[in-house]
Amino acid sequence: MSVGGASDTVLKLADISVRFPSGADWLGRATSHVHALNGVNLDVRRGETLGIVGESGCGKSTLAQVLLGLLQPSAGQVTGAAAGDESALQIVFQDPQSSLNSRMRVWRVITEPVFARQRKSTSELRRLAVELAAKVGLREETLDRYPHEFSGGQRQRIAIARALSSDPDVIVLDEPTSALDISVQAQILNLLEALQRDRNLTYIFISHDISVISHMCRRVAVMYLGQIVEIGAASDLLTRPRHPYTQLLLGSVPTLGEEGLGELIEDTELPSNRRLPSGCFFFDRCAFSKPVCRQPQRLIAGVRCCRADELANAGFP
Amino acid sequence: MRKSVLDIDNLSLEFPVYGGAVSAVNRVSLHVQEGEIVGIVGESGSAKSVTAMTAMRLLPRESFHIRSGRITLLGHDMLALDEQKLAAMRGRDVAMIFQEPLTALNPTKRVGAQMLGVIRLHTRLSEREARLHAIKLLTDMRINDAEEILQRYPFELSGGMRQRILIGLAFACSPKLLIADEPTTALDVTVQKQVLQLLRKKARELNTAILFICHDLAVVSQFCDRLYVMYAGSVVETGPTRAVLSAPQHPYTRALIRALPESARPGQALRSIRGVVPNLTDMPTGCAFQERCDHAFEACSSIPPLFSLDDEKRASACWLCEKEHAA
Repeated sequence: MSVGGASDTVLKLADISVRFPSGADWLGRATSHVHALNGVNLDVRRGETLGIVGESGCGKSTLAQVLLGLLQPSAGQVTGAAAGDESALQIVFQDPQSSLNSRMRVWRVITEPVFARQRKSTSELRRLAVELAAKVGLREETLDRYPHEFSGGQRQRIAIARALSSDPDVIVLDEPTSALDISVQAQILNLLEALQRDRNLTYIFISHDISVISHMCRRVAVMYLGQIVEIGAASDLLTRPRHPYTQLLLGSVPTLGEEGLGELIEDTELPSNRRLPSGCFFFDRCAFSKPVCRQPQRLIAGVRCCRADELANAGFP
Repeated sequence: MRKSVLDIDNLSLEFPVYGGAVSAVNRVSLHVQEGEIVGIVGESGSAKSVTAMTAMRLLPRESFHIRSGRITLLGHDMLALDEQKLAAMRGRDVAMIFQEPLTALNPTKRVGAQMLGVIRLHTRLSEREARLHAIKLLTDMRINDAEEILQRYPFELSGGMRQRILIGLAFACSPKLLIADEPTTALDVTVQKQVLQLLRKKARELNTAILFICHDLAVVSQFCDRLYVMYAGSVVETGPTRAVLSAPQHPYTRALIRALPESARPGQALRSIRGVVPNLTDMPTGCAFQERCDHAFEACSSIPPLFSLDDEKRASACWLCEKEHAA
C-alpha cells in the first residue's frame, strides 16, 4: 500500500473481513461461512477517483456496502473523516430501474435522502430538486413524472441527483454505466467528471469494464476472491500489470481493432469462497505457480504475489 | 460462391400498439452465408434481437405485422412455414443461444435430462448413445467432469459453465446456423473470452454459420468476419468487420466509435452523441439519424437506401456517402 498521510484520507479500511453464515444446524448455528472479504486494507483520498475492478464474486459490492456503513465487517475497522456519516456517503447503483422507487414522483425520489434525515418543508425540498435536476441535465417540467417514464440514461441522472442531494463527500458508483448504451454511457461519464470538478467529490468507481475504469480513475485496485491483489496508479497498473491475475484479466479484455482471440483459456472456474485456499488464492488458476506460492501472500508494494518482480522482469514468460 | 444460409430481404415489421404502431424493423436486408460469422451491432431498440427472432419466427403470432419483405432460411420461406415444420427446424437446423443462461435452462430438471431430451427429440439415438453424445459435447466445451455435470441442476453451476452447456447443446445436431443473442454479456471477461474461443472453434469445425448479436464493438471486432450496424430499426452500415470498424463511413458508426472511453485520453471529455434515439411510433421522415447527425443536409429528408461503396461488400445508408462516392 502506498504511503498515505500527506494526502487527506476520507475513508480508511483496516484489515476488513466480512463473512456470511451459510447453512445452519439444529440449534441455528452456522455450519459454514461464505468469505466475502478477506483482509482488505484501503485508503480513499479526498477528491480522487479510486477504481475497483474484479470479476463477479470477488467482493466488489460487499466492499461498497462496508464503505457505506450498510454492512458491519466481521473484523477490522472503517475510519476516516466520512466514516459513519450518513450524509457524507452516497451510492449510485447499476440498475436505475430497481433502485428508484417506482411509486414516487421524481422530485420526491431526488430529495429522499434529505427528507429522511432533516426536517425541511415541501417547498424547500422542491427547490432543492429543481436545483439538482438542472445540475444533472433533467428538465424542470419532468420532475412531477414517475421513474418509469424515463429512459435508462435519464433514470441514471435521477439516481445521481439523488446521491448529490445530501451534499456528500464520497459517492460510491457501483457499475453506474453497465446497463447503458455506449452513447448514453459517454454522457453519464462526462456528467460525473463535471460534477466531481465542481463539488470536489471523491468517487469510488466499481466496474468490470476496464476501458471505463481507465478513463475515469487515477488509482485502481484489483480484487480477487475478497482480497486486493494489486493496487496502484491506473497508468502503471493497466499498462504494466505485475500480478498474474491482473495480467490475465487485462489480457482477456476485448479491444477494438485487435483480431482473433488468442490462445484458448483452459480453466475459468473460481475457487469456492466457502473454504479458502491456504496459500495464494490465485494458485489453481495461475500459469506461473511454483511450490513457493503455497504460502499465504501479503500485499507488498501494491502487489500480492511473491514472484511479482521476478515475473514482471521476465515479461510473464 | 458459398451457399446462402439466411437471406432477409427488405423486411419491415411493426408491432401494433394502442392508437398506432411501433415501426421496429425498417427495410432490413441481411445475408448470412455458410460457415460465416456475421455480427449485428447497435444500441438498445435498434431491432437487433427482433430481426433475429423474426428470422426464426420466435415472436408471438398475433403480436406483429409484416409490412414487407421476405425471409429465406435454408431454402424455406420462413414467413409461410407452418408451426410443425418450424418446430422441427428449431434446434436441429437452426439453434439459438441467449444472453441469460439461467433462464434458458429449466431450473427443475437436471442438466443431463434437459440435454438428452433435446438430443433425442431431433435424432434417433438411444438413451445411452445420447448420453455419450452429451458428454462429448460438454468435453468439447472444456468441461472436465462432464458425467458429473449431467447430474447437476442449473443453479449449482456458474454462469460461464451454464453458457458453455447451452453452447454445447446448441451444436448437438450440427446446425447450419446458430443465432447468438448477446451470449457473453452476462459473463466476466476471462469467461467471455473462453466462451467466444470455444464458440468459434466449434462453429469452424462443423461449418456452422453464426449470427452474432452484440452491443460491444470490441467483442464484435475480435469475433466476426462481417458485420451489420443497426440504428432505430434500419441497417446503416455493413461490410467486413475490420474495414467497417477501422474506417467507418456512416456518421452514426463514426459517432459510436468516438463515444467509446478508449477513444479519449483519460480525463478528457468523451464525445457523446447529442440527442436521443427517435421515437419508433413516430419516425421522422427521411434518415432516422438526421436529428443527431453533424453532417445532415437537404437530401437527408428522404430515406437513404444502402449504397454500395466498393467491391468488398461495403455499404452505407447515408446520402453523404453516396455524394462522396460519386465524386
